[in-house]
Amino acid sequence: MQSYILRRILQVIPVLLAISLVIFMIINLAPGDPLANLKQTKNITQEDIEQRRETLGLNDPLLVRYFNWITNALKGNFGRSLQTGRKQIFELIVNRLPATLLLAISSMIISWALAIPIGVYSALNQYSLADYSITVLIFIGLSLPSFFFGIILIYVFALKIPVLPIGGMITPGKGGPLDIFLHLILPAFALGIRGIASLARYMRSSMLEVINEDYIRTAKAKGLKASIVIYKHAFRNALIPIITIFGLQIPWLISGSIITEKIFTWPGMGTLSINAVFARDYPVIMATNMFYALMVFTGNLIADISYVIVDPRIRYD
Amino acid sequence: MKSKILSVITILFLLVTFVSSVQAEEAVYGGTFVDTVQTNFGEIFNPIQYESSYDSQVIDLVFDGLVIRNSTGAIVPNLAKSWDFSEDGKSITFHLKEGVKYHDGHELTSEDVAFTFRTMLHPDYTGVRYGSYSSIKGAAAYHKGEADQVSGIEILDKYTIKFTTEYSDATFMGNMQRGILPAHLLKDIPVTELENAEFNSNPVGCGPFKFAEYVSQQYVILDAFEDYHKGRPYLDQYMVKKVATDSVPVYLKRDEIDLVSLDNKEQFEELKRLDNLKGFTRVSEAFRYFGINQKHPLLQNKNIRQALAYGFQKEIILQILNGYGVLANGAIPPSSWGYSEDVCKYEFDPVKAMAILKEEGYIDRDGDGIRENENGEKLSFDLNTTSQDIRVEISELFQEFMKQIGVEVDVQLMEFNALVDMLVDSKDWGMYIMGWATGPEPDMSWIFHSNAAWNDVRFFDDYNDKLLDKGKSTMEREKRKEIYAEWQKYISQELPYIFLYYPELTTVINERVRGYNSDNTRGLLLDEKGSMVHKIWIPKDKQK
Repeated sequence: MQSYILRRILQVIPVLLAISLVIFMIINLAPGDPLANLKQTKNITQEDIEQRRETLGLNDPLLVRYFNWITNALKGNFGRSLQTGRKQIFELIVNRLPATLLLAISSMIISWALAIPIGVYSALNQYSLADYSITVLIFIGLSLPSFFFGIILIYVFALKIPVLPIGGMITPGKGGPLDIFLHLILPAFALGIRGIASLARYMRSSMLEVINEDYIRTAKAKGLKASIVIYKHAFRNALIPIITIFGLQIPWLISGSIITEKIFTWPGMGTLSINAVFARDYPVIMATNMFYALMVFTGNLIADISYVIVDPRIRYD
Repeated sequence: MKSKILSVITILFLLVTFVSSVQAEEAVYGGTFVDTVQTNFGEIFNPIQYESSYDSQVIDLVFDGLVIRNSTGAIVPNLAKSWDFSEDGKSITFHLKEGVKYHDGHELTSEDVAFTFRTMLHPDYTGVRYGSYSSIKGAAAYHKGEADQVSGIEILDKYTIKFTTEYSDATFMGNMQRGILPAHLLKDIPVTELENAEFNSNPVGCGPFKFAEYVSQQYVILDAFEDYHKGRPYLDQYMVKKVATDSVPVYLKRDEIDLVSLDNKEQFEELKRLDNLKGFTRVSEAFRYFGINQKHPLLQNKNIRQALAYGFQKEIILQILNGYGVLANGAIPPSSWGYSEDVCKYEFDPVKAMAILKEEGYIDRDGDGIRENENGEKLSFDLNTTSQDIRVEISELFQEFMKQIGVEVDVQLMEFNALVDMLVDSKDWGMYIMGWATGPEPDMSWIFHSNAAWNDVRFFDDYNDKLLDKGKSTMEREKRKEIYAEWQKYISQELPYIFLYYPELTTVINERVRGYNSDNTRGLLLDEKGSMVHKIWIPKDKQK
């Protein structure tokens, strides 16, 4: 097992290098330019922009720039943003990560806490009226875009019943845990409710698969109470595939939700990376994408390891 | 008779109550004004280093410049109480106000002014504002590192500073609005390091508000500056809050923001009717246009360009804009003193358009609805647009009108960045739709001059250059006015652009705010003395 993990970690090094090269080439070959916004400005001359490019090293050949970037990155220096206050990118990510994590974890708690009971109930009452209505609702939930749901939430809880803040993370001049909590409710629900849909589907099918297994029939046959059969035998086993979904959700946890963050002016990673893409802020695009790549890898690894933990039949050697 | 006296008394009574009710509205101190921004700041709050125009919203409150443009677009005193020009118009001597304080209590002197402008000319300067001041005498030598000093910037005494330019430049004063940096805080920082300085996220200037708190991508809080040289602002605080465009109506209905500009005109219509809000519109100092590639094999022909203009019914654009725009026949905005009506307007006339095309040898020879010349070359070109709804709609309408006169237009959608790249890198494109923000200054040589960096349409014309040069180097406004009238007429004949419209800006302000300029000629917070942000106030019972 240990050697397996070590192998996986060693594998990631060439993969990350390859990813970095590909991303670097793609973003630099794509049309556009980090200084494009200056081109539409009065009083800023071509020479001004040319000099700026020179200062930022944008005129060097692509491979030289990649080499510069990778040698700095390996030393842990991801450089400065070309936009956002020309701050160190490390600092930018460290500033944004807590907001994203807070939102992601809260919305995950909401979706897991609701999705698992719904999935179980739906499976146990298969083909009942309740099951059908849940299935229909889930499909509606899956097809509703999250921004639409976010706007509905704002309309109801910030306008019609004005009890919650419209957006942002803190009230200017206030702050504190309670204030942040109030700001968190709407975006967390907007993001979480949508998560319920797919998760409940997984839970339902996993549960259905398990209750048709022979050992459940055996358990029933030997006269165990229905509740014990369901919750001790069936439910625990049905959870196994669901737990691995958790690992796969980790990258999503970090990357943040671009749309929800935008609607609720939540200062997270999603806004950071999408703004970087629009502004062609190459160093930020590189840093955030490498970070996401690393997280995808970590998530997969955790998912694989958690298989082994929850299911003794699986072994990696 | 009695009833007459009675009515006079009634009117007098009404007048008195009216006057007294107006008088009762006496400006009071206190309160927080909440302004908004709908896009992220670039977070460089430094007048010589910033690149995002959203940053200037904060910079203009924290920093003051020597002069400022007022509500009519004229240059008026700010930190400089007066100035005089030399005989040849090449030197300007500014007399600074005495006793002007920075937010940290330090006094502003001509040293600070010299420092600010010298830094932008410094060889190590990394920002993009050198070009605005390269006409200062000796700037080039200093910038190249060949001179230790800028000969055109001379400190005469503590409160007097003289600028000399290489040639007389009527637009130079417009550039003297730049916010003045505090030399005492920045002079020890190497110029290359200025762009990364801590100062940029915690700036100190001598403007009406001092920088208090910034929470990234959430809000900026500015506090009233007690010793502001034009008097302490009535407001205690000025906040600029980041809001999501989709939620703007909710913020407004909940009285959480005071000032916002709305792009969505239907929303504007709805919101301005609410009791707690007031809506204002003004024609912007910007124009939208079709740029025409002057080196395109078909479009380099002036007659064809004119035919296209005759064949397009521009008025339809106003419907797309819901009426929020003014049709443009030139580049200079109607609110500018340089604006002239005497230009070719190309009233919609498809018959004339078709006649011109026929005369140029373009006839539909193979019956496919598109004209071609005798060599069989089709009258067809591409029109490039960003995916913005209004621009796409206008492009498609144009395509439809061109079809009617036998011209094939291929509308291409692109991302803004990609479109800008294409204009510069490729020479094959035909037309594109875009906009320029010009300001009130009628000098357009930065777009239209042969040597202009932004002459994307490659319009190279000697007479045009001559007029632009003359307009820029002439100092008297009346003479300039004549030159620009001539220039506007000439451009409308040559037609490097088909001018479309000046967009109308819509702003909503909360009813509780007092003291702004409701004329709104160049914005609600500008009057004849320039920025009046220190004069706006909120009645006691409405402060939060």
